[in-house]
Amino acid sequence: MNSFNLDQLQQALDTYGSQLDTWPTALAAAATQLVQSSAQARQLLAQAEQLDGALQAALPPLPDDELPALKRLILTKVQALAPDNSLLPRFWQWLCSGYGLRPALLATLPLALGFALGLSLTEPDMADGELFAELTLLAFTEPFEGYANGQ
Amino acid sequence: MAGVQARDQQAFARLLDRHAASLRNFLYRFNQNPADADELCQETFLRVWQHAARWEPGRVQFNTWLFRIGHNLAIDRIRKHRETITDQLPERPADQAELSQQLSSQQTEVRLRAEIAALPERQRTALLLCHFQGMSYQQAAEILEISVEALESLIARARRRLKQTLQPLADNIDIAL
Repeated sequence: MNSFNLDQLQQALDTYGSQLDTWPTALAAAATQLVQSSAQARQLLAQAEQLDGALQAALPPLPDDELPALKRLILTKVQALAPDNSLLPRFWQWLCSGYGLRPALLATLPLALGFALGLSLTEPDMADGELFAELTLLAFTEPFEGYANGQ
Repeated sequence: MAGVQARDQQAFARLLDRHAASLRNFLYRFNQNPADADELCQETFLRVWQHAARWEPGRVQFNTWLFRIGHNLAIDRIRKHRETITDQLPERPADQAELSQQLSSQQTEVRLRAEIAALPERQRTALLLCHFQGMSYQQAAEILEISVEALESLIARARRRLKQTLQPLADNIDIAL
């Protein structure tokens, strides 16, 4: 960096700003050396510092006083977006995700539902002649004597 | 962020505490409208919540992802309301002598704000991320999805343009040699 000149300093100031300690190390060392030895280099650095200061003054950060309200609003909206956290949806989500036994368990659900439905039905009144005739027709069999006689 | 991906609202609240102020300030400086900044900040965090599963820890830092979302939303909004910003630009003074007379501190700030708003979007973003948000050039380049060299070029061009605004004032600086 011995040949570091004013043009290079200006280019580096435009790229990295006036804080030499944030520059790449070798570049900062060369710039520091030049600034120490050259009045023009010091003027360039002063102009860059002025620009940095003016930029900070032109766009200061927003005051934080409205930030808590904004955070609360965001959290409220997120809660509204959040999925139903009750047990049944969570079980369903667990069942539908993952590999191995869970999809198999899911596949047996209709079967289990069928059993439950079957067990819950009341037994038909065999004395009812019409129902007996329906069942006989569905079974494609000859009517049993005892049932036909209402025994 | 892992907690947010697991739909933990408390984890989301912690994320909000950590990043909301910084993002809000960036968005304010980007479009120079506090109300817009709040709306964009809100929208950005809602996107984070809704699309948390898309963030991949090993691929990009959370902060980079967050600012990328915010930046994209801000650009969308500005494109929809481009006329608002150009309307806010003060008229350029007729010549440098006139400008020199006008450059009081407050006027310089107003002029600078207008010049920052008038910068091309990528130059403005690069300058704001590095100069105001204190991000590394690497991280700012990732947000803009460009190389570090391209980012350096954007910043240099932005600073040169803004420097011209201050030039009359700078010429009057008396430096002890």
